[in-house]
Amino acid sequence: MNANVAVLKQQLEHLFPGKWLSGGDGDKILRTGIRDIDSGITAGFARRQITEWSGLSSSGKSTLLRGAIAHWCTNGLNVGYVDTFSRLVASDWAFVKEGHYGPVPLNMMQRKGNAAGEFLVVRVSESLAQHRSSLLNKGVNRSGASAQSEAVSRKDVKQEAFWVVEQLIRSTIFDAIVFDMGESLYFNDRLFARLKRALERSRTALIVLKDRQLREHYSTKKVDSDIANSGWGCHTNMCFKWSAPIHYESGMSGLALISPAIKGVVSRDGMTQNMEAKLNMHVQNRLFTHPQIPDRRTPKARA
Amino acid sequence: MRLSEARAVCSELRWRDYDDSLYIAAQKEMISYLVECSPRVSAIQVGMFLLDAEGLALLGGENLFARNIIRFVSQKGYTEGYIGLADSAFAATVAAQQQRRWHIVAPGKDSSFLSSLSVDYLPISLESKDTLYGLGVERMGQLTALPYEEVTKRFEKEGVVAYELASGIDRRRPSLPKIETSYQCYVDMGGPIESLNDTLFVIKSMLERLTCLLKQAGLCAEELTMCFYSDDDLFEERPVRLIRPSNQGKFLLEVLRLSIENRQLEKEFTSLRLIISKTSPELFKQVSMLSGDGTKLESPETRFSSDSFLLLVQKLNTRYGENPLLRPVAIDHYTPERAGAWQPAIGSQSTSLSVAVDYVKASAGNAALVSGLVLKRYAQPRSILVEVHKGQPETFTSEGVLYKIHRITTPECLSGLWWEQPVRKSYYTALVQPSSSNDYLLVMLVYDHECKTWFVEGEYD
Repeated sequence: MNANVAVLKQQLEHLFPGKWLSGGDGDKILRTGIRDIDSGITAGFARRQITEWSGLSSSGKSTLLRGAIAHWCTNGLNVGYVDTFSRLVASDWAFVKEGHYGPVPLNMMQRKGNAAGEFLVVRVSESLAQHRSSLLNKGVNRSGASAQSEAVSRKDVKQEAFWVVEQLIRSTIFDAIVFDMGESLYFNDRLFARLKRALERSRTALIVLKDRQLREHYSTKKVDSDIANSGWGCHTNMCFKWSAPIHYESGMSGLALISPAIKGVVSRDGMTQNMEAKLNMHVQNRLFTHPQIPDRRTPKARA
Repeated sequence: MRLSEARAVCSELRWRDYDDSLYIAAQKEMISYLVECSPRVSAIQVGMFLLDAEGLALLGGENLFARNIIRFVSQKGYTEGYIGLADSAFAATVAAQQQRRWHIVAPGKDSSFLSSLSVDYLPISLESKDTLYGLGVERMGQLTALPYEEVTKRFEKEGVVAYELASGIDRRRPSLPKIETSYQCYVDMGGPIESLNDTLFVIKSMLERLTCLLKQAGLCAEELTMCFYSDDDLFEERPVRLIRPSNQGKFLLEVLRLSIENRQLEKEFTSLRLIISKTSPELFKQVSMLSGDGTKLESPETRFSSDSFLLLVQKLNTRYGENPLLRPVAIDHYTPERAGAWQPAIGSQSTSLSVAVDYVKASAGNAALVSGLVLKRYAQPRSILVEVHKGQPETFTSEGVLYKIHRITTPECLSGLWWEQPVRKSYYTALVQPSSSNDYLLVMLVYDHECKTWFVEGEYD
């Protein structure tokens, strides 16, 4: 009887992560809703661990991750996203909390949860630039530095992003934190140790989103083996890229939609597993909405 | 007098911008002085005070009272003082504006005093004043001569107030001034301090004392100010605003530590003053009995109202000046870059698009509202050189790399915003391959018709 209940709880946990198991797998792993990731060698994202989610700057990795984030939010989990270089567009993520995640991977389980988690974003480079400019406007200039040296450099932004990630982990509010590092490929040893220490005291899963740089002409096998061997201390490594078959949707006057499949390689503890996700997209029509018409009754203030 | 002329008279003259807090501080100071003249004193606006002038018959009368106050105020440095005495506060303020040092309205004559004066004195909107003038009502007496119901019907609430004031009815009364306690601590170190640990040690002991006082008074700190002195010379005054009022020493210490860490002091200090510059009454909220149950998981709502969340927001606020924790919201607009906005997670009123999410989900599925791939925009759109063959882009060069366009969609031509900054753009999605790689990229190509230039605005990821 007890065994049956445990199995049932495991199945329910698979459907509604973070709700049914306590102290066991449910506390340790976050299911993504994507079958190939949840049922393979990784079985989801490990809490208190760093998972690398990488690919070329355009490879479909963020689209897949958005699906996973929407899955978590609809199941009552809180997700933080540290957008280091402020590249996200708000409209793409506006309905993630409600479980709307755009092109659905065909192998993704669609669930309707009762509790809605939060999805919050920190746009690091933007916040830092605003802060610096406000300091300059107020005439507060640290240690007599010139205005030129107050410009935000990429190094500053990266350091700030690490600080923000550490604070988000330490707050123990978020179940998953996505750290979008852009093309900054490597962790400094000291920072890595700090993040690991912070993770050990929390229940958060840290997902490091990295953009790999374009490679010269390589065979596909060579690229895959490189990915499998590129562990740097992360628990699991997942690498994605666009692949065939590419679906083209014709419109009334030509091509309306390009939708490639996403190929992924998941590696953990020396083992690798291939996965593929096809996207279920449809043609956008932005003209369903309209801009706000200005209120002509009030004349515009003239300078 | 112009500033240059004034400087010619007084070379040490300094220009200072209008600062509301300075006026309020001067006003509070003046109230504390005026208590010596009358037990009930209150300020109704900047530079205008109400004093209780009842029961003066045996103290030399109203004239002596007015003369004494003018003399007293002049001694404090305010030589341009005017006094009005009347039954109602409004009549007294109008009497004080009659360009005489003091003007006394006889008891019971407020209405007749006001009747000959202009309606401009009434605290009503400009639009209502214009309407009154339009109706031929220029004096308060003409207003009170109208039937009360007609005025109420025409001007509603504002008309009622104006009618009552013009009739000499004003419910404002001077009150007993509140005694303001200042919560501050001052420590003279006896020598220069430059280490953070030593500073925090001192601040901790100061906070212990201040929070104890606050708790006794049932107050919470809203804003703290740290003043750092070097040999009695104030070199830094740092206000620290709290995201939520608190009288918890640990929390306040953490906030001050963050402030010092984020913006280090210019030099070592020899004395420190810590001031609770703003306070608010402490709220006592009933905590759920189950909240202490360690076996129960916290709900998302609980976590986002918890102290740890507030501390996180406070940390980010202290570091970046404003709340960088943002929430994406949709906006009723069709160009991709303007279809959404980032809104602070707390402390902002929601202005998002209201969407019947359940209806859309049921009728068009999960992907209906967010139909595309995730776009990652560049900080600045990259201008590119495009080679076009038979009207179709074939290749482009960006930052020294040649990209071959394999497939490209028909453009989505969007224009608008003619009332702000006109936008006329053609948006393409292109599957491209860099010349030096086997990999494919999906990019957003944009042709800006306003500046006749091609751009890559971002990549689909």
